[in-house]
Amino acid sequence: MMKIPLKISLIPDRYKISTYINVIPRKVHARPLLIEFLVDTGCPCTVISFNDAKRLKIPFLRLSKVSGNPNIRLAGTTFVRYLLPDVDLYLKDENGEIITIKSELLSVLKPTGKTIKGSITPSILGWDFLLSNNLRLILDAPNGESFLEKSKLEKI
Amino acid sequence: MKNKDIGQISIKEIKQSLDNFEEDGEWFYEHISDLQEKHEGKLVAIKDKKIIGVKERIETLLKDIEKKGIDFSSVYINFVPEKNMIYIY
Repeated sequence: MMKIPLKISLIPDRYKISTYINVIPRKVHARPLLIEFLVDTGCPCTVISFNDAKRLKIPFLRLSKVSGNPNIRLAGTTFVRYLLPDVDLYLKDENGEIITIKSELLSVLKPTGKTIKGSITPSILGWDFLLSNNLRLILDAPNGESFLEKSKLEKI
Repeated sequence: MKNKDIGQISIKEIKQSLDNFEEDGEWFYEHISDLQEKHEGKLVAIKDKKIIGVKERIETLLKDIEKKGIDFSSVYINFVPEKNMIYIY
């Protein structure tokens, strides 16, 4: 059984579960994209925030909108989702070793209008990521522990 | 297989950059109360456990970092929530 530890951070008045991932898009970007993802099972999709997209110079002009329903509303702001195809995700297991997960689900958020709210929405690891990778999310709230668990991940 | 390269980036480099980024993230949460005192409601940029920029909007923050000659792709940036406000994304 392989475990991917998640970070539980205390922000005054609330807790946040997140993980740090090195994202390498194969088709549209050559440089590694270091991103902190909020783990949110209430979000159906996995998205890179507009802030992270700007920081990492993701070229929206080279991306296509997600087919079907590309619009999503987060924290009162409407975004359009652009698909970031053929992506490798690098993260650390419980021993600190790098593991990789391939993804075709990642999309990038672009707000439909200019709004400061668009600047605070985080990158999110959503339900689709857990489902497509057969990951179990374990949260032990009293002991402040959380991790993703899978029977086998590709080790490199 | 641990030394396999990905394009021109080695696994060792990937791990190192991830470690550094994670440390800056940890620093952010460890100092969240201090950050709220000085920079609540703003975006802060952290590199090597030091604040290198504070602005309200991402565009101006990135320009500010670029002027300092720092590659912002590896810079940790997060929003400092306002005091007495619970954010639900």
